[in-house]
Amino acid sequence: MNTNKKIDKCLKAAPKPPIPDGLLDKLQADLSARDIKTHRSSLRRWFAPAGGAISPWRVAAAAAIAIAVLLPLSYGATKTVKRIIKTFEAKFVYPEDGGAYGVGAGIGSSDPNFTEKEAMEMAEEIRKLCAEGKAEEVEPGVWMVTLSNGKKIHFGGADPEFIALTDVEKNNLLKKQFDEIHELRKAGKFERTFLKEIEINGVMQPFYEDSFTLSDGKVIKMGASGGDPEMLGLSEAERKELLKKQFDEIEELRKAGKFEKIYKPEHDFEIDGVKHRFYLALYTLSDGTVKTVGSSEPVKDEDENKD
Amino acid sequence: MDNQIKSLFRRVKKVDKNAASELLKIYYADIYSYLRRLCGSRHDAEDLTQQTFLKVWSSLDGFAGRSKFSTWLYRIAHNTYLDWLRKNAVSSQSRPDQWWQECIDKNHGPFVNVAEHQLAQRIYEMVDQFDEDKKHVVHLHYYQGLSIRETAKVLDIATSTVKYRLREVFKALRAKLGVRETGFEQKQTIPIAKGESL
Repeated sequence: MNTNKKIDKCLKAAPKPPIPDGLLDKLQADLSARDIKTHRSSLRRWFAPAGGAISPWRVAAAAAIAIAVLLPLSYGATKTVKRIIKTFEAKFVYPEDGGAYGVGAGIGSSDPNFTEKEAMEMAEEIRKLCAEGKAEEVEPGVWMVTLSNGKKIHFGGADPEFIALTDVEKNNLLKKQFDEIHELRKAGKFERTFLKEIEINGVMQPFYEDSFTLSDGKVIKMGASGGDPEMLGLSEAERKELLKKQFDEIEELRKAGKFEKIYKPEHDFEIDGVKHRFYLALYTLSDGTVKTVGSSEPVKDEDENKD
Repeated sequence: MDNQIKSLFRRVKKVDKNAASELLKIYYADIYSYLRRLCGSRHDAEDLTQQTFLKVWSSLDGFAGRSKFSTWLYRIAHNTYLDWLRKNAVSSQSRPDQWWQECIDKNHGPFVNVAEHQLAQRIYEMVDQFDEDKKHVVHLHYYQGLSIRETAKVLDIATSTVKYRLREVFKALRAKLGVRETGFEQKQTIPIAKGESL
């Protein structure tokens, strides 16, 4: 027998380590104590506690919510996010009844020269890590992955199993779910819970949480409002154009820091020992309309002293 | 077997804990063995096995079904081990763990004589001294019985890279065993699974 064959035989015949008594019991106990996470709502976490969007004008708010909540968590909590680059965006408009939905994600950096290429590469690495099951839930709803360069990235607002999907798969899943939600909404098959009234342009607007049970058993909860008269009578193209304008204007106002913050301490959270404040950002657009977007920020030392 | 796994996995996706328990029974020993050999400590291997399965149960939707379930499982185990290695920063050389010596001492297995038995012992020792890259291909392909393609998927590298590393492993083992390299020997095909060649 030649050397290669001898080596091959030895390697293949390597002994197996003895399995410790009780290991299977431990693993079974872990399994019993833990929920198997599957068939969970991907959408629910995309929308901030402040509510997502059902009415047409709020599609801007919905997409902006997902972006705004995700990004400050990236790059650790201690750095100020100076530049945000969108890495995923999906919008679905149902013009016949004025329904519209938007979901987005992005990566924030403290480096103002952070490039789109860097963001897209980082997003792809995060996606792969999530697909490999390497995302760790460090706080309820807050996940962490470690990039190949050792950088730890925190994210919230979406589950790893959703982030693990490619953009095409995300779009397909969201489209399927939104189509079903849309049909359920048309058929009145959802539960509505009143949340609060907010004054917008001098008019009190009711805000609700609508709960949809999809055919696969998923329950998706989304924010809803009374609707926006400015969208009525517009064609689909006109609606899309108006929504894009609103998106862009919100983004500009956000960059310029021109918005009002309403802190919501009941939604505050902590990452790596650093407190984050959740707030509603009110953006007044050039046409006088006010858009509400959920967001968060790390608590600075001076802020803590004020408290 | 593949159909049984697929069927079980479909049931697990529907949150059937009995099916999850069945999958666990099928794979836990293999995953433990893999981690035990790598990390060199029984207690660490138990912890890593637990961590691996906890990750599996919490990220089932991350498995798209494009590869075999076992490949995905090994990949999670592999990554769990790498995380552990980074945190512990312990080199394999400094971890004395020679459970396999005891195994060999108690059971000669397929080795027909003492010389073969000693050769096997030397080879396992040498594999333990390899760098992580080489060690992983040996562990997955030989010790765990994964195909070249499955090994490549677990390690997220090309199949050609797996083959290259295995050739390097054999070359290093031959050198350490004192085999004089000749042109003829270098061209020899290393025996591996049916349908695959190095």
